[in-house]
Amino acid sequence: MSWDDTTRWCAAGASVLGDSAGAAEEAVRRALAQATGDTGVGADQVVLAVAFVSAAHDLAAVATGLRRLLAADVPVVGCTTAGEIAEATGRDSDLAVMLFGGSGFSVRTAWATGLGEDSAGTGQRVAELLYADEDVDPGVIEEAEDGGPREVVMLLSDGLAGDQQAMVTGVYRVTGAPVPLVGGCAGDDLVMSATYQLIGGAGSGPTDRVLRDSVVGVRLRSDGPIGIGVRHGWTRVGGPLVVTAAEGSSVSSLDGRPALDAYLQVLDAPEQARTDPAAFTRFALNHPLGIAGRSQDLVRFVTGADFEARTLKLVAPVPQGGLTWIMTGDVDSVLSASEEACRLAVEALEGRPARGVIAFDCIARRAALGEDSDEEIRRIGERVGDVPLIGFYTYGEIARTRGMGGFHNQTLVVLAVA
Amino acid sequence: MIRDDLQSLTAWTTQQLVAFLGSVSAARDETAAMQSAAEGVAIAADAEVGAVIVDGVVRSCIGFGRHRVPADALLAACRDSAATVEIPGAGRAEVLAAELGRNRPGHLLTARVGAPFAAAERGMINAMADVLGLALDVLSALESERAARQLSEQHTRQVTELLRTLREQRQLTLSRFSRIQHLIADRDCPLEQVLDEITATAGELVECDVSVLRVGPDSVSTYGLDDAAAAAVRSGADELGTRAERCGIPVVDNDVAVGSGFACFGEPSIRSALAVPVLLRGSETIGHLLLASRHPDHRFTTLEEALATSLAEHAALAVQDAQTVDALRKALSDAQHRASHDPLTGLANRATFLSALESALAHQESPESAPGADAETSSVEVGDQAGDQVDAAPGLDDGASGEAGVPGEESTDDESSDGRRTRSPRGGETTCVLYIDLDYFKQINDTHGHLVGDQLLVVTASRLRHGVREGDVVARLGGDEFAVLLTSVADEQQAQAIAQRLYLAVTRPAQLHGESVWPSASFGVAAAVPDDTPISVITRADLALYEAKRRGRGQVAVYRAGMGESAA
Repeated sequence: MSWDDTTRWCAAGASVLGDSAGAAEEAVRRALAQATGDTGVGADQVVLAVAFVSAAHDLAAVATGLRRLLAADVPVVGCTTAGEIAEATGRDSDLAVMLFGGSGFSVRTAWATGLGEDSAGTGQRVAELLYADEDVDPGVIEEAEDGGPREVVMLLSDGLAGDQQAMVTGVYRVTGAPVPLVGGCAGDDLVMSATYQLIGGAGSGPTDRVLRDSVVGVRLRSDGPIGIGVRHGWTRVGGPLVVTAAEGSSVSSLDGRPALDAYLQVLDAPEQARTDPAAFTRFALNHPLGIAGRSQDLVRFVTGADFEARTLKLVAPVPQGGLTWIMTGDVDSVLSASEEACRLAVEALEGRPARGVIAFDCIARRAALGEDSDEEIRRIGERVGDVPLIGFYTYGEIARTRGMGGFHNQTLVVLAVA
Repeated sequence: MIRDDLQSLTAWTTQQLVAFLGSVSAARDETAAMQSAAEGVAIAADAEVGAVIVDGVVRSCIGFGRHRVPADALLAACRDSAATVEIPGAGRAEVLAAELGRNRPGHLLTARVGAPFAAAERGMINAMADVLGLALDVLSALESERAARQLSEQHTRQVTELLRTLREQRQLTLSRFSRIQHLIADRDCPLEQVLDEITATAGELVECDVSVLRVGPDSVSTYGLDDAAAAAVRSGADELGTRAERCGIPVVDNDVAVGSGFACFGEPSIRSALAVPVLLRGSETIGHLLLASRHPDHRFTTLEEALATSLAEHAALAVQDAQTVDALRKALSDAQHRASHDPLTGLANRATFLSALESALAHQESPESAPGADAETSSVEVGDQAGDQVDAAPGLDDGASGEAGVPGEESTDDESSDGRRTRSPRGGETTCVLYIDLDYFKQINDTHGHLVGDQLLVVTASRLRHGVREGDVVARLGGDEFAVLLTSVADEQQAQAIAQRLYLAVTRPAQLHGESVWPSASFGVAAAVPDDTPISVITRADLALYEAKRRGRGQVAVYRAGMGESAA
């Protein structure tokens, strides 16, 4: 099969309309126009629609809008975000849609709720549904002659519920190492009150559903290679610190000293960050903790501090007894990491051009970049080439390509399909 | 690079066992324990695959996808230590399988693509396998008791009691293990304390009378012995323990003959004993753990043997971890030394000198501190102290500083000869810098060759170092330029006298590679004044050095006002 066949295609569209249904319709129309322009194919060939939507939109109305142009059985997934990434504009588009089409892709979707109660179990249930009724097991996919993956599971989870790494472990119980996992945690424009996930179409029930506390999964198989790039751009400051006391995601001591004091001292933090919680949070945005990992340090976002108890609050649990580094970064290092993640994703396509790219970018990186976040989108576009691109700013990124660890913070995850 | 390796190794040895123990101990039954063990070992090893194999059956496995577990390949890997397995889509993985212990024929297995297992990881996974074996033993005892209860109504009360005891025992076991692991993870906890804790845990958990942990030639921890018996036991190894060490496996004697080998343990006589070897990285015998009972009816059970084996594993881990931390500290201090010292002469380099000088100046500004007390240490520490000192200074402003530290205020007796007030906040002590340049160094290099030139630099360094007091800092600033930081001299005159003495030492004739060399050197001396920065002091010392050269070299010059102008 040659790389320029039209048995599979991607197309992206975005909209800034205030009306949720109208915006969704417009985005799909634009995407279809792009697809038609490129390949002469149409809505009847769409096998999957992925929508990333501002929390200001009504997700149910978005579903209605999508269905105005897509048949009822076309699988649709999506979620609310902390900002959308849309092709070319580099700005919030309020709503971004990617269509996958053609017989070269095959898709199965599934969902499960209960993430907050039983994260691992919820992840496992979604994966079991994705791989139910299969004579063939995960991994028995016709692998590329060259060995690269031809299948990926994309997960969109509620970023305000549960333990995301446990959720990934639950999925891994079913998929195992053969299948890479990517995705992101849904956001709500930093309101931190509720995020929503959307699923509908064949295999996931008769109607489109808007969910909370859930994981939505897409199992995407392709005739072409799939590439994943993961980079964060933070570097270690100072020596290693042992987590001498931690409970869940609250770290009370590092190297036997109150965690907050150790953190401020290593970073020589400015006076304001030592007394003012808001200033601390701004400062911490650029100074996450890193946990030693096999290929790359796993980054954990420091969300705040308790000035009384001298503890650090993190976005995810840190193992007590574990070795951590305080990390730092600047606009340049974060931007080069973005480029590197794109390069890795595209490189994995074995020389074939990407047909579509989805980026899961941490909201904290965007905040750290400030006005340079447009520059990041520009560079992502430049790196992946002139291909349909969407993405969103997440409350946590998912990427598992080696080992079992798959939950990231302050990281860019890039999925490229050829 | 080596630093990174060591650090990741330390991370490994301290981090994962705690999490593993937590997950296994939370399990309600054997199946759940095996699932969480398979996941736990894979997470700990950052590996793709984790599995538990018992009695030739893969009881739990993660990493291959639900229905694709290659059972035969995994079973084969348990028998062959060099085995690999293919993970579809991920590649060929190296397998590491650790035995669960003698009670339970089985393995805890993990497999990883693209990163071979290090020795430390093998030790850790052996320890995990032991913890799992132990947990499974306790769980199966609980389960069989549960079954027994259903069968026999009349024994309900006893069984309930037994169940309760077992549960409490299990909780106690796990919490004691957790404590040991935290002690191991705490880099500041001395090894002896960890070993003492293991010894006491062994005695208390097994409920025997005596436990003795012998590690290496010198370290012996005892539990349950009075001072006299402990001293006697320390002085000589017991026979059973020696046997366990020699065989590399646990040895039990449940019928100790009176008067045989345990005489020094005191009265009443030891009636039963168990010894397990302490194996470093699972192979090298470094000692043993001995448990002994004075009770005539006590028999050591296989469960107790498993417990002792696991505790011995923890002792080995503690030793291994301490070795790793030592190696790490040494590697760090070597790296710091390399970064802060001149490779040819071993003296502090320019950056180190500047930071030591900065620290000394800061010390002078805070009168309560002891100038020079820490200044002889390495550059990094000196730098840190400088930072701390700046932080500390404001807090010392109230009264204690007296008048001496306040800029602009006249002092009575510290006028230097150029009219500048030198920095002497306490006891008339001040900081001085000597700037030294070897005269005619280029000619010596040209005439005698670079080897002799280099040797002269080394000799000069040594002469300077031996000519100063502890606490003073000697540095090579580059080329043939040296500097000395005198952290607490009475006054400029004393600094000048020290410079004269060093001048005489440095200019003694030297035999270098068979050649006679008559070195000459010029010295510039400057004392610090309030608000000095390292650069401003050094600049004045340099100006004085220039003056010494101008006057014809081979002499010591002290900075005087106006030298700057004449230099210009």
